[in-house]
Amino acid sequence: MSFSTPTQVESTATLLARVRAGDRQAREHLARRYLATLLRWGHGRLPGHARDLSDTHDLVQVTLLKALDHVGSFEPRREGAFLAYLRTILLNEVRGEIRRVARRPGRVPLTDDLVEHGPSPVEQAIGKAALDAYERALGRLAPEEREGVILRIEMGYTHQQVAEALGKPSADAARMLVARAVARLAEAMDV
Amino acid sequence: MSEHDDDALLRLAQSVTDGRPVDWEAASLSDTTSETHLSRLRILASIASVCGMPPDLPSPAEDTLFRWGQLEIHEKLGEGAFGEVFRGWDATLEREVAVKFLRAGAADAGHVIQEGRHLARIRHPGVVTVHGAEEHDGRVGIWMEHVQGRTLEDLLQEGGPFAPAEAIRIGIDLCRALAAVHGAGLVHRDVKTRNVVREDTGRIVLMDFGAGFDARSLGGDAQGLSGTPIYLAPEVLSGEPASPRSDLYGLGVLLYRLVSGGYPTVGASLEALRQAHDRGEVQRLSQARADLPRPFVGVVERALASEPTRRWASAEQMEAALVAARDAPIRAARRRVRGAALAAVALLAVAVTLLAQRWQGAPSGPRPGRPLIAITDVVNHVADPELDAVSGLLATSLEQSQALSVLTRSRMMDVLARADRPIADRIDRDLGLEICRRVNAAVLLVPAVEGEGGVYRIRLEVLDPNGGRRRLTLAARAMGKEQVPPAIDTLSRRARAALERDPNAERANARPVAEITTASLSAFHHYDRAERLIDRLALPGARAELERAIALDSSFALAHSRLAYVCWWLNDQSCEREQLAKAFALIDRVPERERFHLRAQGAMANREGLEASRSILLEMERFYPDDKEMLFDIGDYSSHLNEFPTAIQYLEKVIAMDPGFARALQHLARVYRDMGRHDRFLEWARRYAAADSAGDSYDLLGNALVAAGDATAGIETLARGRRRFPQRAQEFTMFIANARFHQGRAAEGLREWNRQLETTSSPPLRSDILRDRSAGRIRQGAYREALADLERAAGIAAQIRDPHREAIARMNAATLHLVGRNDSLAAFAQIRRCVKLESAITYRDTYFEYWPYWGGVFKLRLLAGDRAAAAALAKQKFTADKWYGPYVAAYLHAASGECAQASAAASRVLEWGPAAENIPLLYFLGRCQLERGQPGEAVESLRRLVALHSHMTLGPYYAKGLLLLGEAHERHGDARLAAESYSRLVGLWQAGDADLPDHVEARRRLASLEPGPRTGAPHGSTSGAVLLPSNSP
Repeated sequence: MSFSTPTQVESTATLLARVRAGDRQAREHLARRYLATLLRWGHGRLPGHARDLSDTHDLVQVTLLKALDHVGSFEPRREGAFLAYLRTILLNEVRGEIRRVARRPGRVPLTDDLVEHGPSPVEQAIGKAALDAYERALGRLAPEEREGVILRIEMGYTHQQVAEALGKPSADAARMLVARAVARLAEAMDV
Repeated sequence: MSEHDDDALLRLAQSVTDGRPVDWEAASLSDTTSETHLSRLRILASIASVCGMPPDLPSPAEDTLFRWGQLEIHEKLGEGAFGEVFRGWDATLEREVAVKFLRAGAADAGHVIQEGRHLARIRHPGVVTVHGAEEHDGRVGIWMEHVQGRTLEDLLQEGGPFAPAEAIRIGIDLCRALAAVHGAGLVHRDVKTRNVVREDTGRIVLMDFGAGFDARSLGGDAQGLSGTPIYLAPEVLSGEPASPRSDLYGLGVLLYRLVSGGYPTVGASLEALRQAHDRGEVQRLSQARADLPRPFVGVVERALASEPTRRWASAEQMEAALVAARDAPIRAARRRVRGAALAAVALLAVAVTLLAQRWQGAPSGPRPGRPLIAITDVVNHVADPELDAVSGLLATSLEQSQALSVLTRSRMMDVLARADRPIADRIDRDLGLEICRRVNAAVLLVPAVEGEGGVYRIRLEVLDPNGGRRRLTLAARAMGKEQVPPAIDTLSRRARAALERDPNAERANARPVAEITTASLSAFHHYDRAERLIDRLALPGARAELERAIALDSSFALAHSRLAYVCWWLNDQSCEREQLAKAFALIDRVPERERFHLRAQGAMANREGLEASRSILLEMERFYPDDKEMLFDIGDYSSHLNEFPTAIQYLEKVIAMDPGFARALQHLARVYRDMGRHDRFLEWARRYAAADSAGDSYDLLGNALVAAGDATAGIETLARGRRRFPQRAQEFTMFIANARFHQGRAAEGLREWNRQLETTSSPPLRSDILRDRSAGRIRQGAYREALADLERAAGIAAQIRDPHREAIARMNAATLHLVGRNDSLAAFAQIRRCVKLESAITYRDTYFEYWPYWGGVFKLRLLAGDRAAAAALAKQKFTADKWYGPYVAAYLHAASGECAQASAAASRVLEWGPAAENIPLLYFLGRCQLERGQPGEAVESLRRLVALHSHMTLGPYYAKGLLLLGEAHERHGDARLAAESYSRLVGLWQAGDADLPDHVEARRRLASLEPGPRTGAPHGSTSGAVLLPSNSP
């Protein structure tokens, strides 16, 4: 079967409903829809040069499919929420991966710090403290704002795309939302 | 945050989310967004960048009129004298721009492009950013930032005249903008209300650089006058080229207009305007609007002086004056108070009345019987500028008299500055008369020289300042320049005969002026120029002039002496030593007044100590009471000797003479800081910061703000200072860390030090940082860790063989052992090690001679109960007239239980002494009083101690004082206040060592004061066993 490139003919919510009903095609469709975005995102937010860790592509793909398998427990109302949800899963998955790697026998026991696998490019650029502060402050934003920031800043959505993903009436509305959210982050980050 | 701050933050956040490049430096300078927010935004921008976020700007969905280079031109915004202005869009950088196209044939294209490139060099938030200047398709254009807002003229029309505070703010911003323009070698030429835009965020932007061409290159063509005539300085109207000072004139007109709605000088046509200027037809600002604060009016009027040299010399100067005007308490125009010492409202002073009150009775005029005389600059009718030397030679000659007091040129300038008058380049008869009247001088001397063919006639008029009536005329003839000095000797003799009141006065000190200066007029000329440069603190220039003078006459002793002084200022020790040696070798030729300075400087260079040097200057004061340098030096030395009342007295004298004297302001601020007088500290720190932007103005102001209770502002100031002066990072870190502790944010404080420690590898600095960190831990009550830090600090110092540092660390440790943990064995073990270090020192003036060291040992011996040893040490180390004499006496009395005598001995130093010293003293006093059964007095003493708490001076004595205060309150019968004291200590120490004896004691006493269950029957009960409350002693 061929799949169209993500021209949102069917909304994410619709697709998710079909996935929950067991529609495997819908699952593939959703995966395609988000893979590119999440891959691009992963290049910045996931650790690079992993040796035993599966490389970014596989990790994202596997995680994505797994997430879609368990989508029954998640009720995203909009695309933005879904992406934020996937992102959280990916970040957790990476941390889990690393812990699994660390606990393999024969290795020097490690703490949870990523000694073997190095920080992600973003962490390299701004440091762990800043990144943690960012995540903490991000977590305290209202859901819509948090998603706006994730979509625009981390995933590079245009304002028009952000508007669609969040159900906002226009690109300018999304622009205002994201800018406000960023300003709020600047106020709330404790670094 | 204010609304404007929110808007600015949002604007920046928008740029980040749009993906527009942000100029972080400019944002940092604009002061409307806090540094913290800025740095977080940068982090967010980094995240976006690493994640590859593409820009997504609001697309200009509109029609393009035409393309020009890389720009799409959209909409015409307006027309100016030079051409048309359009709004455009830069698709490459995705930003909106404004483009000014020059009219075809209006000017030379290559020239304009070059100037545009010069303009592009200016990056300043107050100046519209020019991106570039190019030629495409035959059109020359300059493209720049598109600033949106309303011009000041619009705002004036809509809202009427501005409030003075707002005008001052705008003035300050424009001064900074002009400083950036002038700093790039350019002149704006068209400063006016229509050329300044206020953006919605409040940002003030100087615009319309069409006229902003290089002052040099355009030369100034009277026909092609550019700029708006009514804003133009008179000299520019007359055809002279525009200059930075004419820009400042324009700014003066702008400010005038903002607050009054009018203009200072008007004319119906260009010619009429010129004539109005010639005739001096100016409406004073105070007449145009009566309720303006005096300092502000003064700033504007000086900017509007018709003579350019009388205006502000630079935008920075004008800015500083506006800042001072902004910070001055609001006062409507005040009636001027006549009289010598209260002669004028100081241009930069905050509280002149305050100064005058403190300073009553101190004469700024001559001593009784010593008439004060002033000398104008010579009226030189001869074409040779070297003859200008006549005034200086005359002054030097007359200064020899001990029956007259000569007003130096430098002091005359100070008088003018204090009187809100612009600095003059020349002191002529009129100015001279005015100055004389202000300081109650007895006579004004006006020298003049004329002649030709090498035959000179020197005339000297002696005028009465009241009315300017001529009392006397003297004349002398000189055949050639070599005869000029002898002619001056003649005039000087005759003048003294006429003016000295005592006819029998010794005619000693009547040496020929060529002997005490130089026979070479050209050498003197250079020396004279040097003195004027020294007065303005333009020291490298002064040095060059003095060197030229010496090259012409190597026996010019005065020049050598002054050069030694200049080299000392410039910190060139080899030059200083060389010149001092030469001056001393020629000391007979040094005039009397300068000889005092020379001897004082020599004493310092010989390491004879501050006291020796100061006593020379005190001797000088008897003969030359108004010598500013002398007065400052006395104040300076006194402050270093901790003799604060004297320091204050002299420094205030100097500041009254010269309110902008930065070093004096700095020293005065420090004195109040050391005394623990926080309100005064802040006041003077502000004034100092307004007068100077040196590194320590940041830490003084920052610390003053923290001490006065505004820790946030203080820490921001300190952080700014740390960024600007990275070579002083360690000091700033210590201040910031201390401030954090003061705020109760100890963890952040410790982080600061830890960060410093991580980034510093230099051993002496690491030793100092550890010592500083230990102070933070002491404050928290974490004495163990503090001791560990001190041990490390001492260890590092020992490794690099630095006995001073080691001794300081060990003394601190000793104090902590004994005072903090009652461990006398450990304390004296540290002291023994110090004693060993003493013997390793071979030169004088070391730490061990000073009270901080042996005074510390002295106190510890007393605390350990060994009064005899302490007394023996005191006897060995000090002589009765030292400033710490009262401390020693008070301590010894207190240790013997003689509380009243101790109190008497201490009363003066408790008033004036340094807070760091008074804390231990008050502890000993309080302890004496408590032990002697005087709890009330003890409470007083210890309350005073606790009030000295400052973020910079906390040590273990403070904590002990708190505990003792609680005890005193208990004995005095006030359980509630006692509990307050104990819980304060426990609160201070909550992160500290729980097993410290004083901590345990405080907790125990606090618990015992807590009310327990009431079970006991009232007294007198006849029932059986009575259950007493569980907390009975």
